[in-house]
Amino acid sequence: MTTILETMGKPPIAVTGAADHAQEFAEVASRYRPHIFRFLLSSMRDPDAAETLTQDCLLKAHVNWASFRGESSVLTWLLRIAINLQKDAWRSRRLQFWKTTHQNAVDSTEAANWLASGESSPEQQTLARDQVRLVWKAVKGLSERQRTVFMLRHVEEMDLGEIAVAMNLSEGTVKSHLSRAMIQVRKELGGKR
Amino acid sequence: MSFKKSPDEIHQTEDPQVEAALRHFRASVHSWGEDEFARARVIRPRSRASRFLQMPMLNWGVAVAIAVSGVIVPMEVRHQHQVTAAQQAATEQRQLAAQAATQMAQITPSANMTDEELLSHVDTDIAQAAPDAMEPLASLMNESTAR
Repeated sequence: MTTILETMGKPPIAVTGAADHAQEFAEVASRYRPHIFRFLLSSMRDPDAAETLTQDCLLKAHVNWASFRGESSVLTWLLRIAINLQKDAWRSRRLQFWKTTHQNAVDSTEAANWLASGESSPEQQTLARDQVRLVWKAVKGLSERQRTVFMLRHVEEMDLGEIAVAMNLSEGTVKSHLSRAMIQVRKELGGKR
Repeated sequence: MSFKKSPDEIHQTEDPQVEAALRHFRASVHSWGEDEFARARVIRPRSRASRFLQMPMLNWGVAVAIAVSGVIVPMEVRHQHQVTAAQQAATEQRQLAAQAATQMAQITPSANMTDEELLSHVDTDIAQAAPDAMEPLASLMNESTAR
């Protein structure tokens, strides 16, 4: 029997009952919560704000779970909700949200300290940390859309079609934002290309 | 046929340094995300006030209501003042007119008075209107009239 987690889609409502729906959603939430949290954390660099919006996202997804038809993957759908919630948060509480997020935001230098334990020598670690710091510096200078596209592409490793669906943009617009973001990143990393 | 590379193609043929930086960046964000996700965090329940403040339509409604009432209430108060003042002025005018009519009625002798009554009325009015300085003369006149 294939489950929703195996298919990344959703079985027809007719063949599932309310209890199955709850079970399905519990599985979806436990599986994708870290992804949503990570995306929001990388976008805002504020763990508390990321956690709050992750909760809001799962709550909204739970409420609308019955209306999800599986036209996109579950993760794309959840990230779309997260992106919209983030936008709403910027808009509706712009001043307060900016204020608290900036107060709680982890500095890009500090954020660069998290490194996967793949680097063998201290020199390699220093080089990697420096590169990460420069990417963070470039990301800080991006517009909200460019940053979101960049994070979805290079952190969440989504393809352009999925990003377009998640952000409700055309693929051409996504390409344009990504291209501009990459110009900034390359510029920061040494002005190459 | 286009020779322009798409960002996907560009990504695939990225500079090795940029590619390495992006790989490190991804690994760093994943590591940070896992670390923060594993950390116990207390979620503060939102107060009713903050929920209320997060409803943009409601906020706009309240703002419009405040703006409208800010304009309408002073106008209404002013209008009420004007109406009250007009009513008071009309009442005062009516009272003055009534007083004047009463005074006129007292002063004006009625048409069915006899000549003697009229003279007596005039005498009384004159006597009443005599100033203090003329009081001795008036008393003399009364005495002479009595004789």
